[in-house]
Amino acid sequence: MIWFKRMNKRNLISTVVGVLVLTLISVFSTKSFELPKILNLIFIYSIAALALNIVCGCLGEFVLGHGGFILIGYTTAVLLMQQLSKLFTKSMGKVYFKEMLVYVVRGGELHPMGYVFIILTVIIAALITAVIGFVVGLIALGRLKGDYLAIVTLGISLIFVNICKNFDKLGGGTGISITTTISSTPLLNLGFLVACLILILTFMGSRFGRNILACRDDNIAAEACGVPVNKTKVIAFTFSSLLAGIGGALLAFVQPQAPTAFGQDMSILFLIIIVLGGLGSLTGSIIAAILIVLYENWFCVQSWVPDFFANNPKIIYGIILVLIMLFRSSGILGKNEFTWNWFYKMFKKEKKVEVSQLNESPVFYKFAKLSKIFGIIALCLCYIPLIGESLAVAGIVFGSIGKKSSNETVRRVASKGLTLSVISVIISYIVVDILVIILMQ
Amino acid sequence: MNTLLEGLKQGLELGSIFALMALGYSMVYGIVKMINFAHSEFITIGGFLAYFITESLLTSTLGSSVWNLLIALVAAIIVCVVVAIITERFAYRPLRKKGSSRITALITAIGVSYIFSGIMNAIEPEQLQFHKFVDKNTSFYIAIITTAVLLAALTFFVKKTKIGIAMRAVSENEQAAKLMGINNNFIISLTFMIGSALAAIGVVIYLLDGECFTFEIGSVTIGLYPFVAAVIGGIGSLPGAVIGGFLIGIIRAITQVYSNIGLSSWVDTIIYGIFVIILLFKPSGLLGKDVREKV
Amino acid sequence: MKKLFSLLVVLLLVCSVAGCKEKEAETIKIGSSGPLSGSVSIYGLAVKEGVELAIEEINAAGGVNVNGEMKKLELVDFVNDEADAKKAAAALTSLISKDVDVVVGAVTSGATEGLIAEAVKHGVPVITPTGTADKLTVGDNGDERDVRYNVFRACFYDSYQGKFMGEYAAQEGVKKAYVLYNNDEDYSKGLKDAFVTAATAGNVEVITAAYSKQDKDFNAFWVPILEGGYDCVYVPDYYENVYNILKTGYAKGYTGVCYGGDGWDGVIKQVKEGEDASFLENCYYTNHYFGESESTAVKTFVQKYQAKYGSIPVSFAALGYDAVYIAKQAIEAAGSVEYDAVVEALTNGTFTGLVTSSTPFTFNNGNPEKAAVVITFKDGKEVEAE
Repeated sequence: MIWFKRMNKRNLISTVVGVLVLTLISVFSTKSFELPKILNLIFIYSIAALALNIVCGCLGEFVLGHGGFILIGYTTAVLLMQQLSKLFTKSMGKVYFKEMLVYVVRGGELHPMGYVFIILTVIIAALITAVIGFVVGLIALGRLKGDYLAIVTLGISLIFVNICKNFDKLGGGTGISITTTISSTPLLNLGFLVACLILILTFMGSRFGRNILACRDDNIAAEACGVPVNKTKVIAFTFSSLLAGIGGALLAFVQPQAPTAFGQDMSILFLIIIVLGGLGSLTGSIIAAILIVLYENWFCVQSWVPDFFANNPKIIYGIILVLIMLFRSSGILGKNEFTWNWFYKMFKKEKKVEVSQLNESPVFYKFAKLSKIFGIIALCLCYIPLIGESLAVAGIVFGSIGKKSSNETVRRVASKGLTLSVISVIISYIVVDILVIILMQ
Repeated sequence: MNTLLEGLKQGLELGSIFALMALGYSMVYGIVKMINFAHSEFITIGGFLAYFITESLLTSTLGSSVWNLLIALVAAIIVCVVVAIITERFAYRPLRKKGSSRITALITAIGVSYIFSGIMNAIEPEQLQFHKFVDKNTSFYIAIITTAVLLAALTFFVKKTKIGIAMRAVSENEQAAKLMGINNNFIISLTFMIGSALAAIGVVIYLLDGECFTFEIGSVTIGLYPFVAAVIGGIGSLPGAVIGGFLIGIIRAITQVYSNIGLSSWVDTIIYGIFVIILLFKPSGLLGKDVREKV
Repeated sequence: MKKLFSLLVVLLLVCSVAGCKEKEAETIKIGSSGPLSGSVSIYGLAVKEGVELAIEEINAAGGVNVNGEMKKLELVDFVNDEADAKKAAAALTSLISKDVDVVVGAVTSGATEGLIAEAVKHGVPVITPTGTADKLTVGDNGDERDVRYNVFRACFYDSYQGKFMGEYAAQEGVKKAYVLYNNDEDYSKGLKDAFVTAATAGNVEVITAAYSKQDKDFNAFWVPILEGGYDCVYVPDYYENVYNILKTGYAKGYTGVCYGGDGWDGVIKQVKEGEDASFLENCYYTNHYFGESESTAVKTFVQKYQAKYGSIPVSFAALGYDAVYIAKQAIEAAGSVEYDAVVEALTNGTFTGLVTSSTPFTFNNGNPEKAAVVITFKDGKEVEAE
């Protein structure tokens, strides 16, 4: 728990506030129809993306078989719940365990006993997935490297998909589901995400985590330093499949899916997410997961977006991938994490620049300053439709002009303004939508 | 017994097509050490183009003669080659110059394959049916003979001609090849060209006997099998790719021919299972070379 | 000061936006979803046309009588779900947010299952015009009727279809039947199971074989059929694959009959110009109605459909049309558009005068009691068999 003590007071409070805000949103989201699904998927995809990032980003081994482990988590959870549900009685859209109400199908209300059942099922499913991951890791990681490892893991995940497809009890053609008996709430998924994050931070902060990072940089040097490379790889892989199992099990309570949906397409989708966010960056994966889920479930469904995007998600993903690889191959955040330090630095005042000292037009400095001011205001007022957006756009324009300056300080100010404006644009769309949805009911 | 023979025959035919495509994967991987995921899209593009040309030429004087097919084949080859060169030039080469990691190259390949696949989907999402030029029996012989001829030609090319030797040099050690005065970029482009030409030939042979296909022919119908075949046979080894191709083709056909005992639903497990087992015990494939990593 | 001002502005905006949400009780809203693109788009488009025709007709005749008040029907949206379960689930959520009163959808069984997973959370009456999978109304193990109590269908269900064809096969004197089904489609598997049970009960020797959705070349699959001397092949899949399979088989020299389910509707359109499709004359399939039947209800419907769209309606269009009329009768019987009332009316009511059913029927566990029609081909057109 060292990382916990290392955080200074301001950062700690920011994190707690952030989690509280998310909790509030989750609790109130049940009033809307689309929001709970989107939140659920965001949290679940984040967990699965983090799982993949541990192996690909932190360990440096390229693995394409993620969908297979999510499938195992999903199927195990559904099967477990099906066995459990034999102890339930159902009547008029309500699910009872003995005399206790567990879940109301109409309106999707989960009662405390329901939480218990879901948590139990998820944990057991995750453990089973971890065991299978351990076996696979033992077999595959020791002997294979690089591209071969990627393809072998893809092959193994396709074998899992094939097996599930062939047995009706395990999924069959269109999948088994449990959502008509019990389905989970965003609050529960948020809880799991927070728990997983704490787990990951503890793990990565410990000796195992440092071993993993050492292996990423140079296998042979690490071995020479006494790091048990093979053991570390297997441990990392097992941990990753544990998290993937959690993600898959949670998915079982959110949306029914066929085994074929867990194959190549899903593995590659998560690869896209962690590459987009930055290999090795945990917060990056979460941010990228948010972007992708919003894209698939919110952007493509909007009536003002042409059908082309919804019908051909692959083209957009392909273009994103290629562009990112060509221009910013480290992803949005690269290897860095989103830290509160960075966030608060945006607002700090820069060293004063003597206008007379600049050997260029003072316009740049003025624009840079204006951009930063506009950015800050836009961030505060981003929920007001027209004013907030126009301020942000002005901030972006001024900021890009300011960045052309030759003075380093001026450039920094301009880039701060730019960043703030861009963030406020993004938030304005998301926050306004959420507010509107929540308050409309 | 008859069933088994029929299965073997189907398998050899399918296998020869897989073999041609596996050759493409193998050659490209041998040279740039990158799995070209976009290869499946070259297959689709070749198929589509051949279809559109044969359809439009059907109504002309050429009708359904051999010339119709040959023109379509040549056109498909040319277009595939052009697409391959463009992809290599604009998507892969900048990454090689930057010295990016293998993950980056792989991901770019996936991205490119997604883009092409999406474009094909937008153009023609319905199922199409290629014109039936020959019947099943003839197409079997065509497939086998073409594969044998092409394999022989390629082996000769790679072993005896100057350019072929240059290709082997680049695949062994890029730096040394450059020092020897070989134009790496040209050789790499040439490899992509040959690979995609083989893919175009392969898909046309597959479609010859009036097959139905969709835009997913590269990514789903033929899918990862040629790649699996290339890896099983040994990346970088030409005869290995062909053997791998035949092996996979025969397995697929056998499972289909015995589908009445439920074997056909297990084809994925069987093929990937064999794949995983071979890779675990002989990572360089059946005919591949074992390369030790030096510190 | 600035903060106070911005807070006021926000409050004002929110109130004004919230005020806009007055429920429009003027029309009865119908929502729908189906595949408008992709390999089974024929079905989605047909259902859409049937639904629109029905709504037009009902509105022209004055509308629906809700407790004395005449209200018109409105098709709020026909969402393109591309026969995908996730998209259908999203479609349902978007339809609910548009305040629909009845959902007529989805079209394919797989997509409908996804839609139902969402629909049970809201209790909105769902009438699927063409979703034939058994589990849609009763769940995987047949025990979820009280959770899916708001789900009904306008067509027969798969185990009925499969059983019908199995009995038909036994009746027609089939000795050895071979079932070639799609392992990736619940529809296909459901039909296969029912057929096997019924045929075996009728003393027919049955073997099954599966293919997956990536298989397009069926030559190898026909080998054991030709080797084994089967006289009947049951292909319960959708028309694109079916045509491909049939063509391959007959080209290889198969001489027996082929049977199929309602997914065959559309096979006739797959025949290319100038192509010899005489082998279809040995093929039979179960469908919901026959477009050129002599019954008055069918004739009137076909006339009106042709007047509006210029072509003969396929069975899916007739079912979409019927689904809307079922909804109308249920709302009128319930006297309101409240979800629960309509669902009750559907559960307990009797429905008459529909195109696809010549006799009145009730819903049993959400399934209507209807008969199937057997269709075969002659001279490039469909004709009724038996």
